[in-house]
Amino acid sequence: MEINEATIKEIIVVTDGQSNIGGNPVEAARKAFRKGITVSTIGIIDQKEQREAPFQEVVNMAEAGGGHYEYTYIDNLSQTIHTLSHKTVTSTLQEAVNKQLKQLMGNELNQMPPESRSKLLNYIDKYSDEVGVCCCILLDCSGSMAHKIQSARHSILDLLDSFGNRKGRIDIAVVAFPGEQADTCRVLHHFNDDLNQMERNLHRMKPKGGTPTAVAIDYATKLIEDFYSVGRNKERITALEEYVV
Amino acid sequence: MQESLKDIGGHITGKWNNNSYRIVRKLGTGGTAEVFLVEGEGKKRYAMKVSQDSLSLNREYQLIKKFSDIEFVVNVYEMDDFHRGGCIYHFLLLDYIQGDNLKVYTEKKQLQRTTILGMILILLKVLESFHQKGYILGDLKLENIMFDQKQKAIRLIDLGGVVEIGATVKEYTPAYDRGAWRCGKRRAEVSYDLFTLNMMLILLLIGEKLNPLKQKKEDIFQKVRNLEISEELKGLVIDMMLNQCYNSSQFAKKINELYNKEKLNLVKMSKVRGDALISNIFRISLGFFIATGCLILITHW
Repeated sequence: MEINEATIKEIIVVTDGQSNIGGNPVEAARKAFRKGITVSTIGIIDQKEQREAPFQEVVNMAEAGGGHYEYTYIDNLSQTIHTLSHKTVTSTLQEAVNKQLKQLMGNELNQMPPESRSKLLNYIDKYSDEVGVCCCILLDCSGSMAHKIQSARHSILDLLDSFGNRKGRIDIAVVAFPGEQADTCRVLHHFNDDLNQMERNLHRMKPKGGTPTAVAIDYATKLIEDFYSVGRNKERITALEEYVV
Repeated sequence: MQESLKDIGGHITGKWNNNSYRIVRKLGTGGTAEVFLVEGEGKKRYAMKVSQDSLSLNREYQLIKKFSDIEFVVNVYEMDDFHRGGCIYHFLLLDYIQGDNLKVYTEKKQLQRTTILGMILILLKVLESFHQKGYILGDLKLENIMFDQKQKAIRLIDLGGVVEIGATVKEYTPAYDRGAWRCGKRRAEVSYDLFTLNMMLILLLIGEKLNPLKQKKEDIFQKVRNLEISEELKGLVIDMMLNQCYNSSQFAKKINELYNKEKLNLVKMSKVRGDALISNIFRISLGFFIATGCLILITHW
């Protein structure tokens, strides 16, 4: 991995239910992962809800997407996104180091004695704050999210505060699904948008309709790919307000 | 998510150092780790923190070693691995501290105001020792502070939030976090720690949960104004929450003055009874603290 060029690309899906429109989100996550984008998932559970595992899909998507999953109450969303993103960064770095170690000495980190392992882990820990991160948050805006949307908005603004203090570069996009039509999604905040506009942009969330999770993952994958092919410093070519599959 | 170690019972032998421990019982779960009470050679008891996340466990190991000379920090004896059900687990062997954490304790018993102020003074000293080394404690909260019944002292049990001054705050708890209250940035600065400590003071004075998602800072100010405490103390905690306008030694000086006034009032009203456990701790640590505290204050000023 080229130290200066390396960027970790990730999609974080925040949802409170099963996908019910469009294709299979697990397949979409697998496709994204093949393109070098890690997909992690957060299942929002109701405060009252006692069910142990509300939606298996959340687990399956994260497994196929090479990421992690977490269930949380809407109140803890900001911290959960932050933790998941940090996990993605560190485990991606750990995997890269493992790969190198295997080639060099046929050993993995866990097979090294704690003292020598420590040195590598210290390095990964330090570097995890410096490596570039490109993160697309996919926010479920289906009808059932209506009463949680205020908290979700608050969480994302709060998250910017944590991300903003990273040493390394961070690019954030926020995409709501569904968009105007049932099987579309809507960019609330693009990678290139001014972060100061985030609060206003987030007010464009209008929770209604179903949950087209697969469409949203495909869309986010394309958004990240386009962002990197165009070059992150250049102007965005087309305003992708609505994306219809 | 980590697989829970439900049936971890029996013995654990470290892969590298070959030390064996008998699992006595589970003490708790937190974040990515589980903590067990274990018995080593000669029936000596330890707390064993077990996790699959080698990175965060290693980080904690390094931090505890780095701050081992601070008397409030628990000791770490070794870091090792063991296998269970085809998975590798990593563990830290730490001091076992008998007693309650402050959260549990304060839920059982309402603390006296002098006790609260005295404890804030001790915690200021704890923070100071981290700041002198160029770090902040970050995630200070009631749950992370233990009353050591044997040593009659305060001990910190989680250094997961410690970061270098100038870095990003890695772990935080919304009720104590100035970012969540929109009172400042989530950046590792001395003032960040002072904010968390001030929130702890407010929490102990008000005696109820604080939630920045449901309350505004103005709601907290109102609650503080409604308390039956001195106007000075009200002003101090409100100012500190708003803009952290006092540095460590100024804050310590103010708290110390208020502490002395409260103590004097108590003596006047001959109401000094003291909470059984806490007063013991404070007889020892406060005497010591006030002596050194005054010295620090004098030299700082």
